[in-house]
Amino acid sequence: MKRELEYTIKINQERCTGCQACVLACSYHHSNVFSLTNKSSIEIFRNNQNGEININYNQASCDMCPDEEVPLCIQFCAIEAIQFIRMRK
Amino acid sequence: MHSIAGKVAWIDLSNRVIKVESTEKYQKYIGGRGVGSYLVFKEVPTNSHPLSPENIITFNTGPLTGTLAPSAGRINISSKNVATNGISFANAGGYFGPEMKYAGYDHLIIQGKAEQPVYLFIHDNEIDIKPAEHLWGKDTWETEEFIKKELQDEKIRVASIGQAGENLVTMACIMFDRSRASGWGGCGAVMGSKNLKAVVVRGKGCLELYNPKEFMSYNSNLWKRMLNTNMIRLFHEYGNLGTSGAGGIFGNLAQSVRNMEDEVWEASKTLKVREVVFREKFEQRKLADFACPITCSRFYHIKEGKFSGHKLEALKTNIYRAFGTNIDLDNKEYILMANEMADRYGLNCDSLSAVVAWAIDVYQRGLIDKVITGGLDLHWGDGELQLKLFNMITFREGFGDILAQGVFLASKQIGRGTEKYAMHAKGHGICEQGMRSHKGWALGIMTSPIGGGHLAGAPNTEQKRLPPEIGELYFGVPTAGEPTTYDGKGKLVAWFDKYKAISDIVGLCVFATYWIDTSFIGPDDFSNLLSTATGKEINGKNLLHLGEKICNIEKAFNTLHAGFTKKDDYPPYKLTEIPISSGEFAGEKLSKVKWVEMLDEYYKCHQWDINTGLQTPECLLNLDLHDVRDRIQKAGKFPSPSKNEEKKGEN
Repeated sequence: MKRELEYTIKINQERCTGCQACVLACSYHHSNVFSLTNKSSIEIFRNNQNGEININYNQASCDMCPDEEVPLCIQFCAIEAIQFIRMRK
Repeated sequence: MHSIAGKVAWIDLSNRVIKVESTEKYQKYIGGRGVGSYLVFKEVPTNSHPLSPENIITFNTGPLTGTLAPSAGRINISSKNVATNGISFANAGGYFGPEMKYAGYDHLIIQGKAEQPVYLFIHDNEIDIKPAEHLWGKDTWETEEFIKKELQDEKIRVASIGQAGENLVTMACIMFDRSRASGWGGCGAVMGSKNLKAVVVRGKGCLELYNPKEFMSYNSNLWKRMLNTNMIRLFHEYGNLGTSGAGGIFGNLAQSVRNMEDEVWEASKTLKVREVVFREKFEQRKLADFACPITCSRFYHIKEGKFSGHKLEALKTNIYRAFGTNIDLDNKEYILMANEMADRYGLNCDSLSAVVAWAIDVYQRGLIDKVITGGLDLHWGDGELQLKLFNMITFREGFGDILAQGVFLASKQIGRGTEKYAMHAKGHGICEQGMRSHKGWALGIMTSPIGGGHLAGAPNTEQKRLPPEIGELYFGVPTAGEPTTYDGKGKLVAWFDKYKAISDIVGLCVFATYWIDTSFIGPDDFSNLLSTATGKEINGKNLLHLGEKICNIEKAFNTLHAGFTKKDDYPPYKLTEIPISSGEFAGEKLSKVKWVEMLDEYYKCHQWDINTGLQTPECLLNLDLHDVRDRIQKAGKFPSPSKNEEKKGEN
């Protein structure tokens, strides 16, 4: 039986180093520019006072980079904090 | 114009006038340190005091700053050097540089002196000069938090000075994002002298590249190449501290012990403060700078004891050395607290350690006493004493007021034979590991135009024990990986001088380059990234040529402003007279004779005069630096044929 699948990404908040590479990669994918504001499906805020990192992932605006082997955010995450998740619809 | 914001702001604090011009005008020097050094050379009058309104301070990004090139978060700060009177450039990571570009500016040139304390707020292409009387007296962490609340924006990026900069302490630095420092040359004091408490940026713009598709294609392969190296795996696992500090992964790397008296620290002490100890006891998470695959940083949380509750991004190799081994301190909590205090006050760790360790050293030798220290008993390994001295230096209290001048001037003032124990390069305090055993490393530090530091020409190939065939292939120097060999090191350092200048010019971190690993960014990678980002074709060879040019502008500034000659490239007394006590390099020290031979090779590679160490008119003309040649000519600072006494003088 052929199963229908859907895809998403999952960002490991504990592992994330806050470097913003995924944000930049995503802004390039959507707009062909580098920016940290309003161009990306991912937003990362690093609190330097307590070392915490907050991540906002806007799944609605993420198209999983269909022309890439794997989404660009994953390609540029040096510490493999982003996972490509495949699941049944 | 691509990959740049397009604007340069000249901010005259005396007259509260801001002029904006196009970045295009400075394209000849590409950006970063290239533009900074050129502007300082051009704008700062020869006889001006570094802390006078005539000095300028520049904030420079490169064309790759703010892109997705590996480690593209760098900002360069240039000015006249408070410690040496020569040039100063200091490079910081964090997130400030990209934010400044997104806010619309590639370079800031700050001139004059504000009547009252101010800070600059740069946002949406605007620049506001805002009052900062209420911030004066606050440390850098308090300043950052206060401004965030005042501007009601958690996402602003702040470059600020602490009380050390306000009080014109020679070792004062500028802090970014709480823990990132532009450390060298007293740039924090330069800001303080201008009544400039902070520069604040908020950028909502974006960077457009000339050929984003090709840039990303090349960049993606570059990231993959870097991520496939063992070096990256080591950084991810052990961070900056574990790979090159705390004795390294195997605990056998050379260190700087007790005012650089030795390179071997007792194993019992090393074991107490190895990277693994900090990791297991305090590590909350791994951190990386802007777009950086290396992940060298860590966030620590002290959870128990006297300093329970303290949290900070911390402990790079330099800091471990400066506040640990060089003070003979093996208490991990006190090392972290020294890190926090230096960050808060805005003090450069290397030059701070140089003066603190020197004070303890000369006290222990009986050259100074309690009359001079104001009753303080100075001894090694005392974490509380170290914090007290930081406090006294920052607020210029008692003995601290003498130390606040930096190790060179403090030792001159006190005299009594203490001068020979002052660890400095060209008057700037240093705290470095392995300078007796690693000859090229030592040469790079002593010839650095900013007065020491390993971020100019110092190679890392010796620490990495680079195989001869790799040394030959990449640098034309088969001995590049042999620590104790002098031969070839002049050539190696001259190459790294111009090569490391490129990463400071384009806006990338040297950790992402050949300096750390030959699989990382090389000259042709710089060239490909730049060409696709900016649309201006430049090959690796031409980039190295530009690097050489910038080194020569900096050298000329030193000749004109500080009068440095060959003698200023010699190592301090301790390194030539006191050998390493034990271990792999037991008995090793710097030979004066070999040093001069190494220097001569270095000068020849730069086409400088081997008798005096000065530039020649021919060298400057070959680099198309006519204006530089004219200024040196006018000042009569070219070597004369009769000036050869220095050649043998120090043998």
